[in-house]
Amino acid sequence: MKNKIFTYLFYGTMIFLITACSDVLDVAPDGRISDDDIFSDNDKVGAYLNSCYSHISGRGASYFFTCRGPVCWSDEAWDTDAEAESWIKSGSWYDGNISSSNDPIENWSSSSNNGNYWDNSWNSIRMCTVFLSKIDGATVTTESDRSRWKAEAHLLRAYYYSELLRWYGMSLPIEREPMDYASDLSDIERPSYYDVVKFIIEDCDFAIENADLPWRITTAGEYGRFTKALAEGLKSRMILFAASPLYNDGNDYWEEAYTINKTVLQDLTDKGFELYSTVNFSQTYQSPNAFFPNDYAALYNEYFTNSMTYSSDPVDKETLFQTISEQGQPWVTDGIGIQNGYKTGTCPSQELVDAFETIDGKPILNIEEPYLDEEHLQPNYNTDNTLYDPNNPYVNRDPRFYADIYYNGSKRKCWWAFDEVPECVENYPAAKGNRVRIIATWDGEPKTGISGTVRFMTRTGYYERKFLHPNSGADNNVNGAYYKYLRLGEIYLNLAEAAAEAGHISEAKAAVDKIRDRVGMPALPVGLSKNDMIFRVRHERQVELAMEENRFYDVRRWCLPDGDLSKTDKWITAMDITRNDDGTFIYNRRPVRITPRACYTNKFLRLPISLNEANRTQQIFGKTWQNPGW
Amino acid sequence: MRNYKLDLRTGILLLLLLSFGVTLNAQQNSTSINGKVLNEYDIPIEGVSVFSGDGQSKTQTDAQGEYLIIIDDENKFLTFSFIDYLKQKVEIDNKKHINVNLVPDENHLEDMINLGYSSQSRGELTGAVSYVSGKELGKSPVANLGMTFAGRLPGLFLQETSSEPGRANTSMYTRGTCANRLKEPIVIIDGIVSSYSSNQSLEYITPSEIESVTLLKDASTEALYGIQGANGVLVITTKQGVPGKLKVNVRFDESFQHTTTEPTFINSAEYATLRNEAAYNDGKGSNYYFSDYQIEKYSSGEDRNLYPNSNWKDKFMKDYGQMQRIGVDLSGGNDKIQYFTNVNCMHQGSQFKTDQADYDTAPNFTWINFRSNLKAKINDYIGAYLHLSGNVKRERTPGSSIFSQTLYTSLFQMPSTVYGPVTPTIKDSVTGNTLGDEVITTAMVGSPTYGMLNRSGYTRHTVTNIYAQFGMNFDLKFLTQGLKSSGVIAYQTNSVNSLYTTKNYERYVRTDDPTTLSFEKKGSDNNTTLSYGKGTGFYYHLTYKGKMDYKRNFGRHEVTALAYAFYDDLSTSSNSSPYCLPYKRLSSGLEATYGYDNRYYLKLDAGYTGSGQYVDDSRFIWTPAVSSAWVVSNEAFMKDVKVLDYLKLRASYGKTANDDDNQGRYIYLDNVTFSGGGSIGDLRFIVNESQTANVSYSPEIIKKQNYGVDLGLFNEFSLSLDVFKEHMDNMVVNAANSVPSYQGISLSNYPVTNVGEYENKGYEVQASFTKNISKNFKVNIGGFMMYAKNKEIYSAEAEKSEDYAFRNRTEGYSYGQSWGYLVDYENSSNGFFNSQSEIDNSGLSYSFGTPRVGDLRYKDLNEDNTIDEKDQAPIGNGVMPRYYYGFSGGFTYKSFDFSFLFQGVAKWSSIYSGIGVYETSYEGVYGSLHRNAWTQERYNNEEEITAPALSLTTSTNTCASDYYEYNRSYLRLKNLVIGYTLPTNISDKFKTGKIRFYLSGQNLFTWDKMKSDDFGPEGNYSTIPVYRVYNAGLSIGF
Repeated sequence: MKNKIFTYLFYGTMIFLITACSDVLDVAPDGRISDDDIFSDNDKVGAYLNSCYSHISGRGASYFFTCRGPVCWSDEAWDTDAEAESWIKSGSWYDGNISSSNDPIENWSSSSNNGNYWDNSWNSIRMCTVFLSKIDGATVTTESDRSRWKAEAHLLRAYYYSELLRWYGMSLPIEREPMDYASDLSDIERPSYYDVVKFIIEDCDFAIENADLPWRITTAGEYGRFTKALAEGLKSRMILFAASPLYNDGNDYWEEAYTINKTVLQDLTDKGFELYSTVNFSQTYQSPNAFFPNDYAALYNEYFTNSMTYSSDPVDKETLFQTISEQGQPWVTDGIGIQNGYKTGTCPSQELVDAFETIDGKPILNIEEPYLDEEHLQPNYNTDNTLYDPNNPYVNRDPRFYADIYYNGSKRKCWWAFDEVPECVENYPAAKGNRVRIIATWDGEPKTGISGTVRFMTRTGYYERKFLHPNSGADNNVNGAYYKYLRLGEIYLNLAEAAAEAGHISEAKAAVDKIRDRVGMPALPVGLSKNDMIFRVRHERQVELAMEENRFYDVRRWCLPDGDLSKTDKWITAMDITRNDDGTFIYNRRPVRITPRACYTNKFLRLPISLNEANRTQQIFGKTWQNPGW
Repeated sequence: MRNYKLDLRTGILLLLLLSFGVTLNAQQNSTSINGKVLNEYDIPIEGVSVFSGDGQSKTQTDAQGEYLIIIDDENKFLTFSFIDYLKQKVEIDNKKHINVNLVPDENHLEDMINLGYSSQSRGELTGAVSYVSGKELGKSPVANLGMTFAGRLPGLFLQETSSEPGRANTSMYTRGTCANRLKEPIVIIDGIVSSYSSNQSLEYITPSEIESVTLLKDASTEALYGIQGANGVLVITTKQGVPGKLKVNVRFDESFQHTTTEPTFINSAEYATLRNEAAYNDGKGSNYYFSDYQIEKYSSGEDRNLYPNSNWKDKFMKDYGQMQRIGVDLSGGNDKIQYFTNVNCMHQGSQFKTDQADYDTAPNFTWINFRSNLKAKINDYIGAYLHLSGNVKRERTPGSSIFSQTLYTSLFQMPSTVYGPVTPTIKDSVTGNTLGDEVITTAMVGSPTYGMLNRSGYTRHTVTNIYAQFGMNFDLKFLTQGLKSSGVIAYQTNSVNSLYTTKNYERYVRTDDPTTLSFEKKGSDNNTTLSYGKGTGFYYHLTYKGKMDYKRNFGRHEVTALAYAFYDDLSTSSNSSPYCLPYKRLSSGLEATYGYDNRYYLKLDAGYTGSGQYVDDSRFIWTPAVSSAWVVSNEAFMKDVKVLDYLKLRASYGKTANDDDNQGRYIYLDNVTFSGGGSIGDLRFIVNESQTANVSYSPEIIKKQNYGVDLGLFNEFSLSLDVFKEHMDNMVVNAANSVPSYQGISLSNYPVTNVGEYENKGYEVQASFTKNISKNFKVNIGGFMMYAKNKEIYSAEAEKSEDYAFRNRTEGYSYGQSWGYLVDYENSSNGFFNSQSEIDNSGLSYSFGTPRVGDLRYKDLNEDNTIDEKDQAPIGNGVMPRYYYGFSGGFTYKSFDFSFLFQGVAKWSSIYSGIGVYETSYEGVYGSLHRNAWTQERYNNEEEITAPALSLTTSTNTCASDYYEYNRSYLRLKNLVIGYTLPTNISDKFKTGKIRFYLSGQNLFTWDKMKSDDFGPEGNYSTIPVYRVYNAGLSIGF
């Protein structure tokens, strides 16, 4: 009997064991949320939008290892790291040591979201699209928030598309609804570059028409948020791309580009956006210690070395959008390397310096064919120009030259972290400290002279000044300004270009003159032909937008699809200056390296998507999306 | 869940209480029988199991072969059973005295094979298993159990990956791999699955505790274990006491161990020459580093202060490390209670020398483990057992856990031209202070050996491990004959307590002037005082199991059945989320066998198991398997075939599964979190999307087939052949390989999917020969070979473009396929560019540098005149050797015994790289092959060239190519034992039982095909080579 009892007991236990509810296996972690959780809570909806902002790149000196990225990869500058740390990207560009598996912009250590643009942009586009598909039914406390957030998501999607178009220059699928990753992706269509730009404009227009999206950010808490001004800027910029020879597929979209740009400029000026034209920090910029030859140079440098403040009436009414992050400490890693003894980075090229006109408004070189030889060693001087003296090249130049460039003989007062040595004849003796130093770039000057290898010395004979606060240094820690991603100055030039190309010569002239007038440069001559006007506009872009990451894209889009960049990007010139014992100088142009840069061939017009992605597109479509040549 | 545990505990408590009541009532008549058991030569056999019926009463014979058994049940038969002998069943028939002679079991048909949750005799087996006895494992004088398996378990690929004392790591794979990853078999200890890593489970057991080890290799034996079975199952059975008088066995071992290989010592003169040679090749002139005068001084040895010749290995390593082991076993018991108790102590020192006077930093290990297996029969119906084992391991390492591996590697980092290990000591005559005695290093070496050994403090890890099982058995014969049930709770806990004492020290580098012995400080490190810290780690593993067994014979029909349920709750020592959450599994299974007339066998198995890794719907899966066997030799028509005394055909087919696919946890859930932050200040929060869910993520199912034949010939030979094929078509792979980025989910968050296909197939052959030539002379010899080849059939790989010489990197190849360039011997007689004109005429450009004269010429497979990754080709055959084999043998002659074991692998090659293979690490590390590197002179003289032109930095040679493919096949004399047992008349004088002296060795010789002797087939410059062990031992029985 007793046996029976514990037998039943035993069976009871056994059955319990076997049938023990299978939820004992549920140890899934808490703290995770679902889509439904997100879109049923006001804060989380906002958070999701915030995540859509996650891949906005910092720009300027924010590429990996404080490089200026496209500035150094174009004919504007040479990166000193190309020799000192050739594995960092500039070295790879110049050596041509890049391929789709060693991608120049993908396979790259990320810095301020630079690198991996393909993955990051698509990821964000998806999030924006998910957001747009849910926002109407989502829990949002105030309707004005819902409306504004929706506009922002449209605008974010437009922004990420514009990034893809600018870097890769290829036609892309248009994502109105989130793609289902599990579905067959092979029936996806890739409309033309122009169609994608129209989609961007559609998103921008949605934002512009939205009543709850502001024109500018007025409180610091909202900084980084997208505005109607950004939407206008994106439209202006991207329609120009669509109309350009590289991307227009043989169609003429210039009239459309002109019309859109005209409207954009009108809208912006109506809303109070204007060129920066008053010195606001005269104590700094108009001080003799800032070493600006005139107020125009001071004004121009002031604009680029200060961030826009967030208020309804900021002193900077030119900037349409500035990136979210500052540009670090330029006096350590950008500007003049020896100031803190580490590295220089961006060295403006002779080609850029040649672009600055003389003060009488005449180009130094023939703007259509600036050089007579392939290697840029024989300048094709503009015979009309009487002010330029090749033996004394840095006088009588466009004020923007003095705002943008440190050249042999220019001066800087700041903290210099070293004692002068006797070989620094212009500056010896001086101990380290806050003092005026003459920037001597002649061959043999041990601190700021030209050098083929030393990381803190210039490769070209010039140092970048545009983004370097006049006297920042270890004792005056002024960080680099937030980068001006879009500014009204560019819009004028976009309009000018579209107008010139569409044959509206006088309007083009008016827009360019507006830009020149701000820095005291004479207006363009009257009666230029369409062709001359196009080249004057391009020339003005090279000067006005110097080192602002436009040139890299401009020289590409101005090419035909079968063209290459051999005229601009193959040979980069340095000014090798010999100092005579009597203190005079001999100026001698030479290539920065005896070998050409390798990054000028046809394939460099469009950058590669990564090899893996190309393989996957090949697998799915039977035909790769890869750009030609990669 | 909590309720459930309580219920089980309450239940068991109740059962215990009840069983006492029953015990009091148990009163039965008993009879006693005695006798003697002899072998075929009339020599008494010790240790024969004698039991009645199904084992209700049980005893063992003593040294004289005598036994006494008290039978208190109604059984009419006594059974005598001993390993290697046929079981003998004798009718009692009121006899008080029964003597028997046992007959050898040539085909081992009666060896009981433990299959984890059930057991079968070898004759009844339908599946594929291999097994080895603890006694056999005990022959190897090594510290870790895993190391003893090599060459002893057919079907288990085994490789010592690290031989570091006390931390040795052995990787083991059942029949290769059944998926594209390396996974070891699960371990079952006394019927309980140990879900933690195999190595860790085995680390706490010594061979002397082990009765047997079985490896389950096919679906019919693995299916029962469901989601844990696919990688094979290692079944460890520990020893049990048997009724009889107390038996004591004591064992002492003293071992000497040293590394089997060591890199060639490059003396300072030679180093200086090679270094100059490398600089010359790089265009830096002929005496860039060392002048001829210096080299002459190095070679003459006149002034060793200024021109040293430092052999760092000799300075810091002794010739031998020592290991001492003592083990004591106690076993015995009576009808009611049996016990087996074991304690082992081990001390293991390392080969490193230290001179820190204030505290000891020398690496060493002390290890104590004990076991107590207790079994009680409470009454006719109820039995209980308690297995308790514990383990304390104390480990000391220098510095902050600087393991021998790191120390060993550091020996080869500093050139022999460096003075050291410390700066000269100078006594200041004024102050009396001692200056100098600071650690010397070089520009490239961060932490020199001396600094790590003597100036970095020490760490002491104390690891304690407790493993306990408490179980009860119920004989339910009152319900129906042959029905039994059992329940067990097992608990394993492991804790690590680490005391860290750390210290920093100043580093000095010799100044450039070779004519003075002066030093300058390197870096900003300072001599600090010891600082103390502590760390702890902990894991637990809780399991419950319930089981029903049924076994009965109906005439010629034999039927068995079992059902079980098992609950597994494991918390690892990981501190990071989500790995810190417990791992839970619920397993159950059914097994039924049917045998007819010792001729036909059928076995059905099914596992129904679930794991917390999966979403509710697909959590539980069935893994059925069927197997059968036909003993042809028992058929009437075979009776007359004399040559063939045994012939059995086996076949099995079924599913096994795996839930441990290296993919992290909770694949079925989206990992979306919400936190503060983000780019936009006033939005305040951010949604972080990481892993995207795959709700259809499910366990991998591997279908396994096995076909076998067992043969017995002339009563002396036995031969087995097994052919197997494993196939999986739902392998978990990273789908990101074929999903494009533009769909928008970051590929790093993209879920894994069950779409891969994988195959593993091969065969195993085993043969053995045993013969008792005379009563004093017994010989045995045997061996096995296995072949396994796997292939990744589909892994969602995106095919590369057409200009690739090979468009796939994984699909169609074995797991772990290496890729590299092929050296072009067609266009270059010796594979090198022997002149600049050869380079120019080749028209080749390398995408990873510019080749120099003396560099390797690679094949331009896609003929585009550029050597880049598109030209890479498959090299070697993946991570697994194709062949693995072993053979062993031995004899006993009178009091002497002798045995040997060879083990080897074949068809295995890999690409080597890194320190010592490439010469460019640190200030140049040269191995024996670099001595004959390419130089113009050597080429002109047609001398042998064994390396590309030396370089100071990474060159076009320092990348994966078949030039660095090493053939890793080897044959090793794994184990050798010579023993002598004292005659009984002598041992009787000491009042002891058997006394045996023995000498044994492990890894005594290795024959390999490596390109140099600098390291063996397992190692390189950065791992401690396999140890060779010499051991002297003594065992005494009481």
